[in-house]
Amino acid sequence: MPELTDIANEFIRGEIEEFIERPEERDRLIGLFVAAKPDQQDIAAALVDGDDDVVDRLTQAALGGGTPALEVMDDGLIAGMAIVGVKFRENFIYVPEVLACARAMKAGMAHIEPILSASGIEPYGTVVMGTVKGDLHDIGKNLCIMMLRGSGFEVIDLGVDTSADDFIDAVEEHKPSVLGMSALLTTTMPNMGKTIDAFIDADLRDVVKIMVGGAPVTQEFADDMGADGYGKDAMACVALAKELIGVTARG
Amino acid sequence: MGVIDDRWRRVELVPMDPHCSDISIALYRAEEADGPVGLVHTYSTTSEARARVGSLARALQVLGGLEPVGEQPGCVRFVCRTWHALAAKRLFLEAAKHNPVQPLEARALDVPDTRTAQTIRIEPLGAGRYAVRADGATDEVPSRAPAIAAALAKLAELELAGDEVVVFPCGHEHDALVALMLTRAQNLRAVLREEEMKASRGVLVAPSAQQ
Amino acid sequence: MTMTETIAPMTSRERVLAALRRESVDRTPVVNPTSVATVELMDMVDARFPEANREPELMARLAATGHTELGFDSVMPVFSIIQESSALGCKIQWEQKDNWPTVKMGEPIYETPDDIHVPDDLLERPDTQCVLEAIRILRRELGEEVAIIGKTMGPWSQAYHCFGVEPFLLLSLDDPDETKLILQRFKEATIAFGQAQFEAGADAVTLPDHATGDLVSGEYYRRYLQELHHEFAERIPGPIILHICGKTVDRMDSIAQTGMAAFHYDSKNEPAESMAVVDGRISLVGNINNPETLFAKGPAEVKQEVWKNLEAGVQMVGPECAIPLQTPIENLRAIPEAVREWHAAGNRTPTTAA
Repeated sequence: MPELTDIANEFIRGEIEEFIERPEERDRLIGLFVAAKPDQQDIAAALVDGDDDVVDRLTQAALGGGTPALEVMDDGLIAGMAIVGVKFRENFIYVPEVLACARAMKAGMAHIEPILSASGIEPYGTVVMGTVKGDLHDIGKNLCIMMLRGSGFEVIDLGVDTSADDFIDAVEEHKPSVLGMSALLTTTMPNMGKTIDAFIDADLRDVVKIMVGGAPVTQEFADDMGADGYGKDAMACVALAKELIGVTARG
Repeated sequence: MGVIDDRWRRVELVPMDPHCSDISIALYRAEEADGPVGLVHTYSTTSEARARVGSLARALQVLGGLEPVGEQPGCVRFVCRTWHALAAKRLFLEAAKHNPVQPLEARALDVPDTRTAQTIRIEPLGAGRYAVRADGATDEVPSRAPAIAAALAKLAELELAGDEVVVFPCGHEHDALVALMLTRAQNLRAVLREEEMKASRGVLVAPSAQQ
Repeated sequence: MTMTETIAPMTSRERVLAALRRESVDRTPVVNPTSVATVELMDMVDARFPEANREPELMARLAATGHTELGFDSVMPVFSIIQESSALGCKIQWEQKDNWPTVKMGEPIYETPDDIHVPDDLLERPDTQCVLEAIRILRRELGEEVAIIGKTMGPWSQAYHCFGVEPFLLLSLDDPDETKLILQRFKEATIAFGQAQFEAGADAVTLPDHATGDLVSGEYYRRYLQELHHEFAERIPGPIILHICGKTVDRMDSIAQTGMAAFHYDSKNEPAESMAVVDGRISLVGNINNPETLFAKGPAEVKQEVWKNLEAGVQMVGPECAIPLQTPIENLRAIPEAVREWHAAGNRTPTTAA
């Protein structure tokens, strides 16, 4: 059973200890970071600290030293963002800090994305993602998008404040296998149901699988409004997307 | 202009009427002794606006089958003497789109389908019941009647009796109203788009929430 | 406590001024620190957006309807939040009658503090001059009966407009000193515009400063703005109503210490809890919900929210923020009606007369 003390990076240990309160999240993150190499932990620490210069430097060093790009992304950048996501949700940090972490993420991804695109792996399928109308939060959505891309999906990002009509337009244009909607406010959650209704009204409900997620969303809510699935975090989102298109694990 | 007092509640608003110098014009509703009554009203005081109240009320009558009430210009009601809330809003918005210089006539009860080669026909069955028929359905291209019926039910808050029959809860005939809803029922998505766009106008957001 | 004191009927203006000082009033005033303009009111007096934001006669005419048509105790002619930004040179999307003018923040005019230039003739620019002239017109037309509230934007909001939101928020983290310098440079515009509005005849000014609860922490408020707001309270010669949107209970204690007259708070905060936090050190004005209640529901729901504020002892009642332009007039009239009804039933707040 991995323990907090098994994590090499002191900063990450401190972050988990101080800010991750839910036991299942704590256990998951401890497991994640214990399994991650110290270099990746250092990248994660720099990302959580919002230091884009250090993330940039360390990412380049890791890739140059032969670490696979997916590993650097998963264990360094995405793992770090998982901590950021929880801190933001619990109001330990606010948008300025999150913007800084996102900037650091971007700095690292600038080196990783070209490698992933050049890898020539056939994508599993296309996913269209957006935050619903009235909601301007995109951290959760962006995490999911990074994980989906890293896991081999092509992702179309509609951004925030996406109307039902825009979702439908995107589905008609890109013909994705999966549509993902996120909401971070209880007041905007009903727009998920309205969007699903709009697909039904437009006779398009059967052309795409619809998954939903976001802090206030629950499995029960997802079932009530007729979604095909609910993902409680970015990792669950990827597993769900694969399940919805009937994909078995690849390599 | 017109008398708006505490009795009246606003039902629907056109903030910028393209057929009358962009005035705002609205449909109000009040409960009178013999049932609910609607009133077309604008706060604009121009003579053009006064005329517009009259022409819009007339459009509600022709396009939606409403009847005039009393002497007050703009006063109308459903012939069944009840109030069909969603249908009234939809009727008002559609009536406002009609250009007053064009001939005004009730819509037909059959239309070519916008998505298939079928013809959609509304068959009045009496007592507020209407059957939706789709002529020209084939095995390859199934009937659009159920989808249209469902859309009509949604647009006008009607009851569904089976897949293809819609019912006005008041039990009264509303041929003109159904015919008007028919064209919108063919593309609910466009209706949704219009509603979303209208709802987003005029809301002041903090700089940080601006897109 | 003044519950046994008998107060002679007051004018609207007297009532608002007293409430700003947390003194006794004959009844709770209905106040709009932010816009109550609607498309229907625009048609009533033939003063439409965008021109009503740019021409003083139209601005005054539309603002007056807040009192003459809606029955509010105040009028507030500065409908939008872009007058000074326009004067500073920001690019403005002026829009049409049914929509708000906005700053094109995708085309920011500044990148560094050195770029900031508050011109000497800021108050002579058309969009600031419009406000001052509209206030003069309103004072002439309405006499001493009605309270006139102006508006001057705080430095945080101006920074958003001129630098863009994300760049400014990142800077606030990367370089606190540079951020403070930016705020110092903008504060002079806030003070000058506020002073000028009092000289033109305003009784109070609203000061929106969008360090909103959903974006920045209470600690940020204390680090960057609390002192500045205190300075505004000292240097702007009249009562200031601070306006910050969103959940702000976590910073109301700090706000209550700035010396400002009132805080305009929104519906994400509970009236009773907010009153407890400010604890008599600042007046509260608010907090009727806009998108759900005023825009989408009816007079009965409006009344409930008004009464909730009155029961908590809130000093002034009004919408939580600038109302949607399509808001029905009947819902706005319901606010003063609900206040009258509450008092007529024999209810009192700690500062209203017995």
